[in-house]
Amino acid sequence: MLEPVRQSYATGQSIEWTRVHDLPDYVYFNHSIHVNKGVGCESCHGAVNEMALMWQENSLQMMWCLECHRDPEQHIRDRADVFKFESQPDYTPPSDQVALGKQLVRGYQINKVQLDDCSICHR
Amino acid sequence: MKPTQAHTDIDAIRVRLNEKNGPEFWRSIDQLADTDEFQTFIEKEFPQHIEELKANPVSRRSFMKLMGASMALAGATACTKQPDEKILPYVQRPEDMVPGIPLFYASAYLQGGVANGILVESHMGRPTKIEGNPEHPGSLGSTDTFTQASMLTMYDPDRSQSINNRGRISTYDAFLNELNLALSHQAEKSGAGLRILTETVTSPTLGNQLQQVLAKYPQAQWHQYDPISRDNVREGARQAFGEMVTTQYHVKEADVILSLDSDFLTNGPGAVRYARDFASRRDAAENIDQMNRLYVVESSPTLTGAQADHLLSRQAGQIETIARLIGAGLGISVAVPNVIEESVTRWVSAVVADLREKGSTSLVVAGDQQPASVHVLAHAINDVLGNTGKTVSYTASIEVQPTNQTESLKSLVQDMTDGKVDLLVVLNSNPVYSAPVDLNISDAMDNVALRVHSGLYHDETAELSHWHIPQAHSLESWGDARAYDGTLSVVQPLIAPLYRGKSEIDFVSALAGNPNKKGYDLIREHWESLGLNGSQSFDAFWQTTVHNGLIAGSALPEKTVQIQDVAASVGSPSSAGDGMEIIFAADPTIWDGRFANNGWLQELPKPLTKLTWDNAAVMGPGTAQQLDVENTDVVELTYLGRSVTAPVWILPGHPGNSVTVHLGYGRTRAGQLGTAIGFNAYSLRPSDSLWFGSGLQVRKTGDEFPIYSTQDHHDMGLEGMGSLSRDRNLIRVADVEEYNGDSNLIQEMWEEPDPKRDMYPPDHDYDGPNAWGMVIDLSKCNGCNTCTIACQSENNISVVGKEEVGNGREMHWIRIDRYYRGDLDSPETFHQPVPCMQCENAPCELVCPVGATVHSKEGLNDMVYNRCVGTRYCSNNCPYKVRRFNFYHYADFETPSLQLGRNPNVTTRSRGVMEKCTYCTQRISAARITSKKENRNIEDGEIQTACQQACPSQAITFGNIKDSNSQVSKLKATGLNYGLLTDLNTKPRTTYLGRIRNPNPALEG
Repeated sequence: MLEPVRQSYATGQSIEWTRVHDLPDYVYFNHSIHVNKGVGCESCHGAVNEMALMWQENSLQMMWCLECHRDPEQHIRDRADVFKFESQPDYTPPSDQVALGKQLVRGYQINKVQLDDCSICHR
Repeated sequence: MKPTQAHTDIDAIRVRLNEKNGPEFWRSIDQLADTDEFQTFIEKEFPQHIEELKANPVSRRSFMKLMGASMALAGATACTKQPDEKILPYVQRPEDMVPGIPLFYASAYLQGGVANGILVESHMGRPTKIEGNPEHPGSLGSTDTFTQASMLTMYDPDRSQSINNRGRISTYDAFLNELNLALSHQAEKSGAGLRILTETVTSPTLGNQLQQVLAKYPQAQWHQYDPISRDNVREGARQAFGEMVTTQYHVKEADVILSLDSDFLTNGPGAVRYARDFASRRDAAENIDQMNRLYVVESSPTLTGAQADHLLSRQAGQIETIARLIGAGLGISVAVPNVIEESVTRWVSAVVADLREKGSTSLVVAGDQQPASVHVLAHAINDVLGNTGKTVSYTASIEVQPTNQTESLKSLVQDMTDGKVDLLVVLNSNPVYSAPVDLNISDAMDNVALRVHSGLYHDETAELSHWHIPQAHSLESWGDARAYDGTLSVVQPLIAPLYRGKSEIDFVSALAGNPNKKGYDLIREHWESLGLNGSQSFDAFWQTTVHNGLIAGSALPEKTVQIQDVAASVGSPSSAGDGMEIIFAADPTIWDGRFANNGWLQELPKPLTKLTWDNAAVMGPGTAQQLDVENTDVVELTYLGRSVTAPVWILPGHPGNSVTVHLGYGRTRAGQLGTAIGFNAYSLRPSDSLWFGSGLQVRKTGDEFPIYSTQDHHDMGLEGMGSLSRDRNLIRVADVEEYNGDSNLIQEMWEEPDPKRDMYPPDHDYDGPNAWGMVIDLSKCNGCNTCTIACQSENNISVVGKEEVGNGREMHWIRIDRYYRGDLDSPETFHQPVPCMQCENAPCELVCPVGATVHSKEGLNDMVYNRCVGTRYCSNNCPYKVRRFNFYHYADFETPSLQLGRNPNVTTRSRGVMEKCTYCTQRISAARITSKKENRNIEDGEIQTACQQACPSQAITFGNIKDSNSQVSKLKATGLNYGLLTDLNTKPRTTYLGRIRNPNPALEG
């Protein structure tokens, strides 16, 4: 299964991955800030651990992004749980997401008020 | 603007200016003439629109075809998934490179051979933006226009891309074969037929390489020639001190500065540093007691003259007289002429008194173009005042081989004509275009058996050469050079040569017989041989130095000099020539012609004239009246029997009986943009009067040639609006005495709206930790336009071309407005940079039908390009006229090399979309994300907008106005702070600090 990787290393040719999650060029998306602020992999990419072949779980349309940007309490996790999946035993989603979410939003200093400014994503 | 049809009556304008209710601040003669054409021009924001459609009518058929094509495209791509993109990861990722995060490398930019340290922002191995290196003494982190634009030159698709042998593409090996054959012939005669021509060299490594060549071929000669000649500076130093020392100014220490025709704030080695130091002594907001005073005598309006507290404009030939008078007034025994004008006497005695009073905190600077005698006088005056070692100091020459370059070139051409030259190597120089016309170098070239040229472009010299080798740009090469104070600076490549060009040291190494040596090794070897690493291991030293971009503490040590007999070197005053004077000047944006193909620099409005894409015969209003010419009239200039035709441009403040022509235009092989633009001033320039001369004849031809200036564009003053016009107090200026007496003076010059009378509740709440604001200090701004071009580089702003500039459609997001005050012949000049005001009550936001411009929670007026449909109502409503519309598809999406240089963090706008200054929102976003990841607030000074970072004077301050300790808040709290057009209740976030002047009471009134 890892033969393409070995080939790439041997020949120095990059593997050409087809991009699954791709936003239009007029969107300036920064992935690192999402990871750092407690957005779980699963929240946007779906249950990747169960995908034999990667697919795009969510629409990635602006309205979908804005739902979380306007209301992050619904989706924010503890930073330690960002890389964990619900289907795995090491993570159970909180019983009261909104309460935990409010705490985390305050703790992680997520400035909700600013998050639906156009210039956050569009320059 | 497009030429006015009606005859401009200059006398009537003078009368109007002197009237009691005449306008105080004015921008152009057309504005004062207030012709019908001008009024129409001002009323329509984009005036020639209808004319253009009438001029290029589209037939019904072609209209349908065009519309049909775009409709088809629109239909096909709407609502479908975008095409697949691939991700290609690095197999071996270069160290430290994270895709999306830029890396900064230190390097240096060379102008006239002298280095200014730069930091280059590199995205994924592509340099995209040049900033100054804060640790470099030459700039302290700022840049100038040429430094910013040099990046575009590197990506210029018209650069030479292949080795050219007698008109055919060839290989480097083939070149080396022929070269080595010629060199072996030379070896037999000790190199008697070998000549090398370069520009001024300060690079120790290149100097060493050239010395190696000369050692191998002892009878060969190395000539240097820079068309923007500093021969007079060197000669003046030699006459004054016996050797060609380099003069260094410590402008920060000077309380009084006298400039004898020197544009030291913008031209010459050290200009960026001098501008910074000068501005630090013009800090009215925080250090008003330290304000210096600047006297300028100039022969042609310059930016240094615009900053002057007292300005005297005289013909260039008369400036030596003034220097003599000042010298004599300070006790130097020097001959003075018998007859002197009364106004000059008065001026001179006030200056002498001031200089004498300030003693060793004064400074006299002589202009590069003034003859050596003026430099000698300046040195003598500095010496007598005790300035040596304080405001001025001397070092060994920063050049490898300081020499009289004009004489050197003359002897080279003589040798060529005499057939003594078998092999001529021209390195990074274009003498066929820029050498003095009387030398007739193109004819002399015919006598040289083998002519080799290495340069960035296949230019006029390459055309006459047998071999042309593309040169690697300084951003693609290894090199070293000295800064204005001698600091050794490193030139580091940011990218492998795009077109396999050879750097200067690589090329000369081939001449020395080592074609395979790399620049990297050459520099390391030479530095190691000089022992620059001291006791440190060379590798450790090298790492630190290349990281920093310079060798700390390598400024040349101060040299004690002894002033020689001034009277003897200066002699008696020559009788000033009668008749009209011609002044040759380096073009403010094209320099000597090397930037002719650089679109950014061609379109950058030249300071003061605000011309773009052309040069002109620049003259004062009096001269124009005398000759009965107006703007855009074509005249024939004849000097010493040679003629050239040129359009006229009237520049208020230009001395009478004198015409300035700018070098660098009229090129025949400059690339697509620069060829055949303007007229060639070099065709009049002789070797014995490189900078000015008397006896110019001007003849009106009766033709007209359209040239476009941006001086009347984006007018905020309503001047052309008939009964609506009034002074809107955009420029507020006061004297130090007045301001010290009444600190409310600036703010009381215009009515500020009272917040209590505001009927509307505040539209926006600013809940976050940051609210962005900007302050621009008008005392510091000298109008150099570096901010404009830095913004263009950072924000992917397009070049629109001459026609569109004529239509008022230049795309610069920040512009410098230039205002005059006073009479036509000697006005005061004021500059005002105008970016977007980011109004809290933005008039543009209200009127957008699609919500493409909205207000952010940090106070920014966001521009959302993907929503904009191009109604242009926002621009219509903006009172500051800061919005720019893409009327056509100005951006070049096709040329691959230009795509490389774009900033990936900023959208490149397409046709039909409005754009404007965004306070560099991409930099704000980057800082916000970094600070949030580190769980801290954004510190003051962490975000620098492109304009702020580039400004040599540091006139722009940006920061968080919610933080009362931030620099911007402190400046906004001073009495100097005011906004533009605040009576419209726009609540601009960009405000200005009024300009404070420091005139000498003895000269006022």
